[in-house]
Amino acid sequence: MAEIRVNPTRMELKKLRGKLATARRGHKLLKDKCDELMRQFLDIVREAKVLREEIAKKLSGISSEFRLAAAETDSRMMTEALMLPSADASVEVSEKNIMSVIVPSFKIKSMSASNTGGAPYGYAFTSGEMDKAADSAAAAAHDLIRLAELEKSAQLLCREIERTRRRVNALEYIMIPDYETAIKNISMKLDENERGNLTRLMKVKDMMLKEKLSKEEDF
Amino acid sequence: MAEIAVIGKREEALCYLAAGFTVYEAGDAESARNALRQSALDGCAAVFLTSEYSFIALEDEFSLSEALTPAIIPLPTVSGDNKSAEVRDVGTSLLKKYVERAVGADIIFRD
Repeated sequence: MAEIRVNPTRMELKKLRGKLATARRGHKLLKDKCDELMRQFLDIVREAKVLREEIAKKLSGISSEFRLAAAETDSRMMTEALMLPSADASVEVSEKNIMSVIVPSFKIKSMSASNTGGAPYGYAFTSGEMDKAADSAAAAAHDLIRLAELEKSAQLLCREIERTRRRVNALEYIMIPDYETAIKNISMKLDENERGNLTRLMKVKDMMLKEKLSKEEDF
Repeated sequence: MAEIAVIGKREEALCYLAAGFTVYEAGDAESARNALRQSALDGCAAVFLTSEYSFIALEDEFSLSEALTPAIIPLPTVSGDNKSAEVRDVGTSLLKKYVERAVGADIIFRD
């Protein structure tokens, strides 16, 4: 461990004590931040896990419906029908602040088929299965966008937690012990100097007394 | 307003056109990567990858991005029979990886 090399003076001691107090306060704040980030992160991951399982089941159903529709409808007709989508999914992206981590928030602005009065394709060449599948796909869009928001948030929070924990550990195991060692060393050095001075003074006083005594004896 | 994109093979991605998503058809992994880069440049808010190309989400270029958008999400897939359908996909393993990195151990997905 690289120790802090400073002159053993009272000024340095005062500075180091200030730094130690700041490091301790920072450590406490960062630890609290890390705990809160962890709580939020675990909530998000749990929600994402449940949502992912739900969507997986829904998408499996949608995929089967589309396969059935594809079997009943001519592939060119199907592509043509889907070229003009029944819902226009676009999202408004805004930022959300979770413990000073900026995460995206997606708000869907879609115009679904029900608002426009039905599917945008003619029913003559497509099957009923396809209408059903298209409706299911449009309904799943909301969940998918929510999943995207949750997983991106989890990714960004995970990185911030890692970073914060590294800072907490650096403060706890490197900076604070280094400051404490440096303060201890300076205090020991200053005490040593103090004791040296005291001994010197006692010695000088002793010498002066002896000199005084010898002068008195001479008289 | 930002778009939502889906990258995948034609047959699998086609159904997302019905949801109003922008579909990028990709014949191979390299064209899927190019489509992903293009969708990021186009300002897509989220990009979903179908099961064939979901492994791309694990690659460093995309998984280490700190940009808010696009959110690169592998589409959930189900394996197993209907009674015990389990979600075992890249997206789940990504989430698992995030938990391991943040907590130190997988406390959410362990069986």
